[in-house]
Amino acid sequence: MNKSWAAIKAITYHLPDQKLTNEQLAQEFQEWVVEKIYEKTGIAERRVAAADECASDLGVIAAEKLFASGACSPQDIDFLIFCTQTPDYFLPASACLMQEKLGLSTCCGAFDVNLGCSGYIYGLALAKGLIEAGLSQNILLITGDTYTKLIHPKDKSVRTLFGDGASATLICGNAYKECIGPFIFGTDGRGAEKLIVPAGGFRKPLGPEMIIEIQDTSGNIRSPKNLYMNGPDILNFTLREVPKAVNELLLKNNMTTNDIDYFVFHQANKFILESLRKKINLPKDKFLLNLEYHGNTVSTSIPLLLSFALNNKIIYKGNKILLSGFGVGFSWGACLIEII
Amino acid sequence: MNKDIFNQELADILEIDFNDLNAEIELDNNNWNSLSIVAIIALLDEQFYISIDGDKLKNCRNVGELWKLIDQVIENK
Repeated sequence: MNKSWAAIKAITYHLPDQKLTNEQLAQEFQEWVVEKIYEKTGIAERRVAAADECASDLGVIAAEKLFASGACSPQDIDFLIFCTQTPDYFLPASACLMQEKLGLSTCCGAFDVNLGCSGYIYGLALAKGLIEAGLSQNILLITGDTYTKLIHPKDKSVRTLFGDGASATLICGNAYKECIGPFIFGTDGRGAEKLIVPAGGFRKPLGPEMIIEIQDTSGNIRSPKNLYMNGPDILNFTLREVPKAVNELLLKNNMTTNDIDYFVFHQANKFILESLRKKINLPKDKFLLNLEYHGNTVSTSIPLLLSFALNNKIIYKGNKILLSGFGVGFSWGACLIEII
Repeated sequence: MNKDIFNQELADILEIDFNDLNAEIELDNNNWNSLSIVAIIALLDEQFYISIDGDKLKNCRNVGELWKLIDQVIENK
């Protein structure tokens, strides 16, 4: 039997309706100026999920858009992978709830992956593994998060950056050549506390002391049940690991940056991306940016950008694209893809 | 050479004139927030190929202490 390779066939995304603009932020945080927020982050507005809207709801809509596009029907899907850090419940896995909502076959496997900004790379690796091991034919990889629900309203350090959103990617096992991979992976748990929601799990269950609000030296307020981010140390980690991973990946494939049509990195913020671009020495026209109207959407940022670039005929089928995701964990990954 | 570029950029980050930059300049009074610390980290990586913890940078009280910290890290590289 001929080997069948995994390939990305379609990508869609969905963003919630409500917006948080720089003008709103500058009104709430008097010391901030609209232009300065935009200049540093590259973000003009973020999307915010409604109170009763979960990441899985956004993911279901993204997947429904994919089915509506004619890419495949729900019954074709034999595996659902949902990458999220904001599930509906501790248990069951949100992917099981989504199987029912999407009308997928009960013969379909479904599980969640708890990763953030590196999650799409890991999701692609899992999908490739399942398909090329002969365990699956058509995988629906959904990413989705509602980080805004974790953020204290008076914490401008994270409120400025993160937005909610979801994506759906169809990965099928009928390509005639390798279209996903090779990969580079990395993990450094020493960075766990640099981007974390400290309380609410079983290490620090929610109790009265876990909702006490503390003001940090920059004037941001949060409690242990909120998202905390150490921006400077995340930049240090990113500048240390991402260029290394990208260069290793190119080396592994006997390629140089000239052989890549586009570089699609996790859209953390403009400052980090620009620092990375300069350090790896990538030309501006090959390095795609897309966070102005939705901010940092965690594991959705890469598929959102891919989908946007395909729809707007920036990326074409057949282009060689290098993906790199990095963040919470610390966890990072990079891979090559070709969309056919 | 790198130090000159670094100091030019440092003055920009602190929003002061390059000619006014000296060891006595208090950081807390001059735009020393998380955004400026992030900018310094990128600059240190670009010009000196070093990284310094955000907290260590934040604890520097004046430009002199910042210079000393950077020199130490460069020496121990």
